[in-house]
Amino acid sequence: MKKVISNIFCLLIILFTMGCSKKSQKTDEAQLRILNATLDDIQVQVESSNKDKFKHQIEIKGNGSSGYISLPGEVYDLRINSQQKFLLNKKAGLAPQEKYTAIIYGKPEFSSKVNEASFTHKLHYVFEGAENHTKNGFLPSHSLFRDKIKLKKGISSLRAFHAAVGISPIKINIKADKKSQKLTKGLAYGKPEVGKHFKAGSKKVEVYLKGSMKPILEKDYTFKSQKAYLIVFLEKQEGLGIEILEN
Amino acid sequence: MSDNNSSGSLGWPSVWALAAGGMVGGGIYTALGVVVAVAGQWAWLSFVISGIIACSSAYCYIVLANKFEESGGAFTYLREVNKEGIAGSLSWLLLLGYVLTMAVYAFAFGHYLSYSFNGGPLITRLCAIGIMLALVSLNLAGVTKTKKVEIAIVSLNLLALIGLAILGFLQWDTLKLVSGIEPRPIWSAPIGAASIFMAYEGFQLLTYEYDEIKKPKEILKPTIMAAVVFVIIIYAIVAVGAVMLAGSLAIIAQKQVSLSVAARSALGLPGLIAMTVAAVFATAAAINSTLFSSAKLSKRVADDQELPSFFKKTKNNVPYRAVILLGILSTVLAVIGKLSSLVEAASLIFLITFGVVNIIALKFIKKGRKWISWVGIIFSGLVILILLMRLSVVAPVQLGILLLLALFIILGRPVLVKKYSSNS
Repeated sequence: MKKVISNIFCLLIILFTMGCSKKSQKTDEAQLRILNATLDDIQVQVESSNKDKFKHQIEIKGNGSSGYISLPGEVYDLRINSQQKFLLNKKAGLAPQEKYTAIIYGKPEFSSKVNEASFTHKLHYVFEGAENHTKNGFLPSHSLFRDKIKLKKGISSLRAFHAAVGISPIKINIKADKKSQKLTKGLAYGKPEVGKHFKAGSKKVEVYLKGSMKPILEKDYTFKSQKAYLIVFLEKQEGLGIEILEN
Repeated sequence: MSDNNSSGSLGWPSVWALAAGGMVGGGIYTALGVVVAVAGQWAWLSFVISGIIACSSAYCYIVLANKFEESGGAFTYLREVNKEGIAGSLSWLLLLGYVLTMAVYAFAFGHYLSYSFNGGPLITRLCAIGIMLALVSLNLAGVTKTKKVEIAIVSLNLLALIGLAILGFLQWDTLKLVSGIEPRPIWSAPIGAASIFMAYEGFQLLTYEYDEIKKPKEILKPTIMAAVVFVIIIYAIVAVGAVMLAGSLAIIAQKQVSLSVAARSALGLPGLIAMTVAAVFATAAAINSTLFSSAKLSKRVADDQELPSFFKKTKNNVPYRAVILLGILSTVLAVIGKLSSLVEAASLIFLITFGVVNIIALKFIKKGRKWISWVGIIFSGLVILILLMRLSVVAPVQLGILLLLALFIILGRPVLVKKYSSNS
């Protein structure tokens, strides 16, 4: 028994030493990208809770995306305005050396006050916290994704998010040659799909309305090795569409 | 009955290891992601709040075990105070709790093992089915409780968790506790506590082994209390350390394998391997202990005619029908269940059980220490209310099923038992 315990202890020391000896490439910057999945232009103000520290203002067109912006690791307020209306004020911790994508979705015109939320949404926020993915009517909302994902060579990670207001749940298939793999089956509005790993390479992304046999959208895309992607299903001026964001 | 100089084989190191291992065995591996989502940076406080209920309940269990000097846990204590009806209902509820607990452990086993080699959902389910099959077979063959192996697994498990927590503390950055999430208010801590209480249920399995403990009146109280306090500390530091390594959002997004995600973030592949080994051994040992004890409880309850005589049958001293039935039910739930629903349903059952034990103990605790029992009663009452509210919002269907089962147990059980008794 003593031998087993001492062996385990040695293993732990080795692991511990490995952890400590890792070369540090630390920067204190976090990176944030914002996708505007609404049809209206929005103005986003990213402001650290410690008000003197950092303030950044971005203008994003309807369906547009900002590139990654670097900012010091802090707790931030994301203030979102559209057509001179203050829609959302969301707080989130952005840790150093991390990458995030924030998606703003919903119908800005439905909002009558900041952070307007349905009763169900508020209730779920109290009891579910960060796992609250109730749809909040069609009111403007936001979802935050972590983009720093470690992957093996030859593998890409795919996630999905349904941001198309009023559209029924969708199914997304990833097709390569004749082989088709499911990314999601029944992804509802406002809900995220956690990452699944796929072989990197050229694929066809097919989006189906749940229960339908015929895809409503198809897009050819080359998924790079060791990259994570976020497929966002959203409403566009010309109809429904998808945006594929690479980390 | 055992006397104070019982010739049982379990000394204090074994009792300590089995109590601590019973709790840590599966709890933290599955509970962390659930509690971080609910309580964010206050996850550690959720574990402390649940821990307070566990502490008072452990004290009450020990008082009652030493008073009645008999194996059997809450079921036995209720019968001793002439509450046979409640004892019968509670034993059924407790068996349901054990089934849910084993389902959670099998679920965790499948996910941790499958995650290590990037297996899909089918592989994950096959792993869960595989471990249940293996452990049911081992129990049927009578190969169940090898104390040395269990103690070695507990040691490995605790070292892995402490190591992970230390690594996390070395990378101290409080921002990681709210990385990618909105900072949560402190009132979310009791909600978190309600959802993961199951993580503390393991110590009470030892009350089924009372007859095997050496000098129980001397060693039970200090040893089990030390184990519970130690586990509260472990849970609290892991809740901080693991999140420091991976960040809240990653822990929540992959809550089924949250500790592997943290270990991988810290040490890469060696970290993933070490945590997978710790998790699969810990969850397998936890399933084994729970299956063994719950089958034993089924037989005991059936002997007292509170369960159909179907459960009495033994082969080579193994209540094989109970082992098979409990194993099948757990496997089905592990395959079709959702993590948070399983954890919370089990938590609700154990909160009720521990609340009842605290109430029974009121009568037998020394005058100056009755407050311990009251703390358990009040805290568990409040946490049960919070959990019922959470389940009614988050998982109303599952709560409905659970309440229907409870209703069936309370109303249908006496009729069923009467029918089977008259038939036999």
